[in-house]
Amino acid sequence: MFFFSQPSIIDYINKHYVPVVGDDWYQRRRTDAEGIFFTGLHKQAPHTTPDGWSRQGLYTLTPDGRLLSFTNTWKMKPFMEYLHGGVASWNKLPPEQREPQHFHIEALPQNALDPDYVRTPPEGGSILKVYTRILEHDENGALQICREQGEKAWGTHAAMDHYWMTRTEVRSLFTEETAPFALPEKLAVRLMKHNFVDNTRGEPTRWELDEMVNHRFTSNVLFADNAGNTTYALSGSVLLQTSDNPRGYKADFYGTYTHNIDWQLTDFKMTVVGDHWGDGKYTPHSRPGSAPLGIAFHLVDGTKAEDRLPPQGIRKPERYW
Amino acid sequence: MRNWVIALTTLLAACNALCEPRVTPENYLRLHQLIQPTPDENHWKKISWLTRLWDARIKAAAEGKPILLWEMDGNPMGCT
Repeated sequence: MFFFSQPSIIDYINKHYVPVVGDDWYQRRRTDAEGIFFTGLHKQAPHTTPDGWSRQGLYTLTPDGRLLSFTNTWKMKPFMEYLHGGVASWNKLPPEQREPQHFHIEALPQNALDPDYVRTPPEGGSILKVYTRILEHDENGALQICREQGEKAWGTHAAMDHYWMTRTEVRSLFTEETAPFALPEKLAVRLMKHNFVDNTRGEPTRWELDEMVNHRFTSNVLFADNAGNTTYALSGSVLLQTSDNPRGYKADFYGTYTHNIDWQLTDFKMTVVGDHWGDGKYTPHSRPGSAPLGIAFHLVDGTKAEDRLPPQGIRKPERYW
Repeated sequence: MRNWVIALTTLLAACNALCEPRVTPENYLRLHQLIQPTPDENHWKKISWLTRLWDARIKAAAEGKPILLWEMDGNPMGCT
């Protein structure tokens, strides 16, 4: 991400390439045409891995799947060799192969996609964008973002993920009563398990049910207007920790959400702040002791492709829903 | 007796300060904004990333360009 933030590299990529991101966990497992295509691409790379192993890396390729360049290291020199090398290899192709429309690629119909490894947001449901960031206190004790520069900045940036709810689950957020009520347990558990995590340095370790030591998620109606819009407050606290306590998160949160006259969720904004301690399996090098970790949720409408990417935790759908 | 009451009141005030929620109706929006990616952190999104490799094939074929694929465990635009 650091290299991809440099203006000259941004311009170069937009000018010379069609850039695309992919989640290797799905790509190396799917058996549809896209999975077969990616497997064929990977087999041309200088560092191939056995079936089932990670195929992470940066590839450049022709539309028909010939590898042009590859790197799986985040050092500047090899990255620039990879970036320029891909264009150089492309320019060595016969001129006709570099013409628009030389290759003809048909779209893949939905029913041709591997259903085990393609995830789409639930019809009529809602998507929340989730950002997570380590925080620190300034000289006055107020929270601020951690400010490191260059390569040390990794881990201080906002990490991102998503949270999905079905149409029925969204409806369960609302009530026609006036008394405070508990958020449905399934939704609270999904939030804690998959999103009250530190994913700022890599793939996070999920909380198990017995590590959710205590939690409280309470909603109450704040106000309703004459147009049928009703706004709720959602507040509470959590204590999540492993049984031997090397990793944990103690936090509280507050947010609001709104539905319209048709019971559609039209706004959702929630902030979680607490102290986190310990490393996850793929997230070493946490700060010593416990330190502030903030998580922010907000509703997105799903029109942008990046907002329709699946939550990290839905790789095993039965463990998500 | 009076000193004991003062001490207890001070202790309760300190405890309340420590036990008060960090996120409140008054500060949750400010903290929400603090956690969002900064403009500097979002520069990489100025690259016109697609999210499906097959769509990239179709676009690259139409435009006569090579593809740059960033493949990671955890989608780069959906995870870390």
